[in-house]
Amino acid sequence: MTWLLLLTLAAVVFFNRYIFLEPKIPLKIPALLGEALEYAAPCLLTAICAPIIFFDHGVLRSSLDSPYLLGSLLSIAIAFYVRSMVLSVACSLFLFYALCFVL
Amino acid sequence: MEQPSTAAPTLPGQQHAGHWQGFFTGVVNMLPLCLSVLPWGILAGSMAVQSGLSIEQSVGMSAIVFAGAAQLVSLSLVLSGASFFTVVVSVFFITAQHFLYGLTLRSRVSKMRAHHRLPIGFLLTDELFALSSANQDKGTLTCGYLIGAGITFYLSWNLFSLLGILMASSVPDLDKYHLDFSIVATFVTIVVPMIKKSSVLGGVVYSLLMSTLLSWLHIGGAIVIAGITGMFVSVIMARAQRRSL
Repeated sequence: MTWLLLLTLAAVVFFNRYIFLEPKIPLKIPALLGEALEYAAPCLLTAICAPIIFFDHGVLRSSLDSPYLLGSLLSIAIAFYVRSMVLSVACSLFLFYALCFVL
Repeated sequence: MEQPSTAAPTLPGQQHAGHWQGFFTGVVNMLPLCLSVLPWGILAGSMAVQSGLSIEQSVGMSAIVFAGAAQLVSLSLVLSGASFFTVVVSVFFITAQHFLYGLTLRSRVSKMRAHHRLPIGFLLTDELFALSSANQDKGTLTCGYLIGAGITFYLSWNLFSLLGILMASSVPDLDKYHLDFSIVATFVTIVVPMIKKSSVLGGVVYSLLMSTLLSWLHIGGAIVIAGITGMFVSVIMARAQRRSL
């Protein structure tokens, strides 16, 4: 790995992150894409969670009573009732580790 | 989500009133995601050293590239003798989901001044996108919030990868602490309040099942494919509902 490669990789990642935040980039977002982007956060964030919940190092978790699945279901219930983000995450984590301890 | 009780909500366009408003909220909200990235940061640091990078390069990689998956993949590609071009193109595609983040945040962040916009672009990770989307309806998506959350995550990532660099070959087994669950806890907390329409619910359930199925089949880019097609599932459902009204 050379410094040139490191700097190039940094430039590529920054380009991908920044390009559409730049107002000078002319961009007319088509109606269909604009409508789809409203759903980007819930769909992508859920897609990121799925492998964590159901897989352990690329292997499907063997049982359905894993703390990951039960903990996720409890997190959903907590998020539904507790509207403070910090409190909701803290409760979810607490219950998850309680499940890890019990199961 | 927390409703800011003290100050009036600042719209992203209003740059002069309180740049740093929301900074501390951003810092606090990011903390669980910092926890979740601890094993990854340590892995990225130790893998850099083991791949033959100098200490300066290993520290520099986390500091300037600042992208977990891209760092790990590029290190293993270099180790296996891949060419400069292969590594660059691979990293381009691995980090391509950021285009969607940029597009989603464009309407708000592109109005900010360059000295806020550029750092937010640099700090725009999966985690920062998650937190930014949590605040969309509330008018609390200030540059202070984004930069506070982003800097917190940046410092954590670099601290953890430094730990990995220092430990190098004697990295402890962190799997047993299940730190990855804090991603689930945080993202669930962000996503659940967004589900106000059946079209959102449909897209979320679809994305969950499709991401699981594609991961099970070991298909590369499973997460991005599931997420993007999920967005269009939501659009189709929303349009079908509008038509039937």
